[in-house]
Amino acid sequence: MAAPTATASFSKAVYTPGETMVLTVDHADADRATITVSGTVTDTTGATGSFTASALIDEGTVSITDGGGKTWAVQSATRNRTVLTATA
Amino acid sequence: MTGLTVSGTVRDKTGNVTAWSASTDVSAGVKFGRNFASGTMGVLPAGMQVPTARIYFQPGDFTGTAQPTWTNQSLITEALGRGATSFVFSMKDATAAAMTKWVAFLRSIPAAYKANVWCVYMHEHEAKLRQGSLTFAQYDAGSDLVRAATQGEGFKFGPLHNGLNRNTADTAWIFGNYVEPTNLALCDFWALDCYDDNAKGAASLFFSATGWWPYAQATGKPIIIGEYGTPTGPNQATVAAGMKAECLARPQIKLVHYWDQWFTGNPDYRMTAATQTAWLG
Repeated sequence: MAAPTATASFSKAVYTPGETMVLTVDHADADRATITVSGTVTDTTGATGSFTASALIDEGTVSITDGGGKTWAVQSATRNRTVLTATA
Repeated sequence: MTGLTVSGTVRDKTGNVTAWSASTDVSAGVKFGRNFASGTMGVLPAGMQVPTARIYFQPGDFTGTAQPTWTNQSLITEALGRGATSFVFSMKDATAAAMTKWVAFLRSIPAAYKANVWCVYMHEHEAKLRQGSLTFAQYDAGSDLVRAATQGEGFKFGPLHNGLNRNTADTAWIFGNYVEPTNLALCDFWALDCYDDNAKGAASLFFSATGWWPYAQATGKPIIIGEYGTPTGPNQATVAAGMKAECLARPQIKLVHYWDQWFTGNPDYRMTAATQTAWLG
């Protein structure tokens, strides 16, 4: 199984105290994939209904282990990107 | 000023873990200080604090027999005695042997100061390039060698330019023609030395559309002013206070050092008592 790749960057090189810092963590995984299963169900009267279900394989979970004393909050998280913010 | 590094991990469902980290700088305000050097220095009153110190190592300091350390350098000791908590060190020895001693020096710096030490190779290189005493290839290779050794020890590194030289011919060539190392993107800050020899005032000289500020700001990096000075006299304190105000309005600027010295062949920049109060008080 492949290990994920990850890079992180701040939105600015320098922040002023009180300013919102935006930290973007981009990550990917060769094993990561979204599978979608769909089909129909038919009852004994011949009536049918359809269904669709999706699942993400090998999802990545982002965590911060050292925030330098800052409190970080997740603003958004998609399959390959997590955006966190904190106050400088 | 505080360097901020955050780190973390990405863990997948099979248990693979990959680490990441990112760094930025959180300004706590501009610090003002002065150079510490031998020679004809200004005399500070007892108890006057100098929050940030600019100290040169001379060519050969890291290629000779002696090993500079945090505790055997009198200028560092003097700066610490004035309460310095930030240091800008510049050096000029870019050889493999010198790197062994440079790294040993860096390792002698107490951990408490590490985040506030800023390192430079061959400051004011533009003048040397213009005069032909240094080629760009030599500067670039030296900068990269010292950068890698410095950052490898966890210290910050960046170029230090001529912002406005004392020499008229140098100024004409240098001003607006910064020569950056190839790996500027890998540097942690951008720095320059600048003087106001004719007391024009920082607003019109440095921070105007034709001054160095627009260029420096666009680098996006923390900015260090290694040297600033204006000739001694009754108007010096007012001119210096103007410079201080301009810097305070720009948090991208981290450290500003007054060149408190009279160096042969140059104006007497030593601070008057009024300037000491305006700059450091």
